[in-house]
Amino acid sequence: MNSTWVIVPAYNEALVLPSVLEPVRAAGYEIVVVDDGSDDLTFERARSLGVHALRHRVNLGQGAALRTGMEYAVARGADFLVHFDADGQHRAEEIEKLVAPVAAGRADIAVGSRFLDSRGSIEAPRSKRAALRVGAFLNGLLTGVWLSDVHNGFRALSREAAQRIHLTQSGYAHATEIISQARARGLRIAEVSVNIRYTDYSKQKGQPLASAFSIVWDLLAGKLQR
Amino acid sequence: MTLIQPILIAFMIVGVVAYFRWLRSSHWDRAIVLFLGLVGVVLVAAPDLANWLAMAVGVGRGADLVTYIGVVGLSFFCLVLLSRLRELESRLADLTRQLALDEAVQPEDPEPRA
Repeated sequence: MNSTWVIVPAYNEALVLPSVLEPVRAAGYEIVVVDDGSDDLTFERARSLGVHALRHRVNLGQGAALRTGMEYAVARGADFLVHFDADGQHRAEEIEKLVAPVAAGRADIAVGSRFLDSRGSIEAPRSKRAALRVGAFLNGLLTGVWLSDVHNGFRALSREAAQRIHLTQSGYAHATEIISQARARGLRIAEVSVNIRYTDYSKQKGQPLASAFSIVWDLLAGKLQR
Repeated sequence: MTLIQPILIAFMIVGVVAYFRWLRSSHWDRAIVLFLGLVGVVLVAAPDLANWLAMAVGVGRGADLVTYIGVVGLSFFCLVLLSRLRELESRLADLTRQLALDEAVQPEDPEPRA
């Protein structure tokens, strides 16, 4: 049977980690928590929950944590890999739907979209929706792949895709980097409609609009260096 | 010689010496710093030379020429520093990742001893 590994980068998420992971575990997935140098007890909490627990000694950023988790899962024989946020905005029951096109061989990477059908967009706050449209547009310019949504962090990858993508962006720019590398390596990308939970907690943990500028900066700097 | 000249020259000599003594780096870096230090000392000691150079390249005043070159040089150094910084960050990431993978805790591992 094919194994699906859920990679959860976590930075100071000790409080919500148990409630976020519980439904994922109940669904029978392998879970890898990568504590990205948290100041709180995220690592200890993950450990006590009986999942694969990895710890960055220093904070590197979400992209770096995902890469660590992917290398770990691939080394342990994962067939499918899912990126899942630790703040509770992604739904465990949607993992299966997200993995489906990859498992069926129709795509190498599936990315969750809030805007693929009208259902998802109702829940997003208006200001956020506008900012995300701009982000999706910039993402399209930078990668040449036009998606309806960007940077929501909910993705599924085949084992091959995970092995062929090498994230160099440690910060949030990894979301764009994954797409551009996928395109450069001829991997097929599918969009799957997902629902994102906007709780007060996840809103507070979300990135401010200003970080969009630092993402673009990181990407340009990364391009110049290669 | 005006009072400012020995002061500036002393600063530049101290700067170059400090660089060689405490800031390790590649040979090319050292050559560039040495060259810049020498140019600085010469231009301060003989301001007319800067004026003559400035006239020759169409800037007008020697002080302006020095400022322009200084800005270009500083920007270059900033870029070099920035790229060094990113390289260092990526090495730190590699090191941190390797540590994390080596120390990974699997579900079947026993709880740590308190």
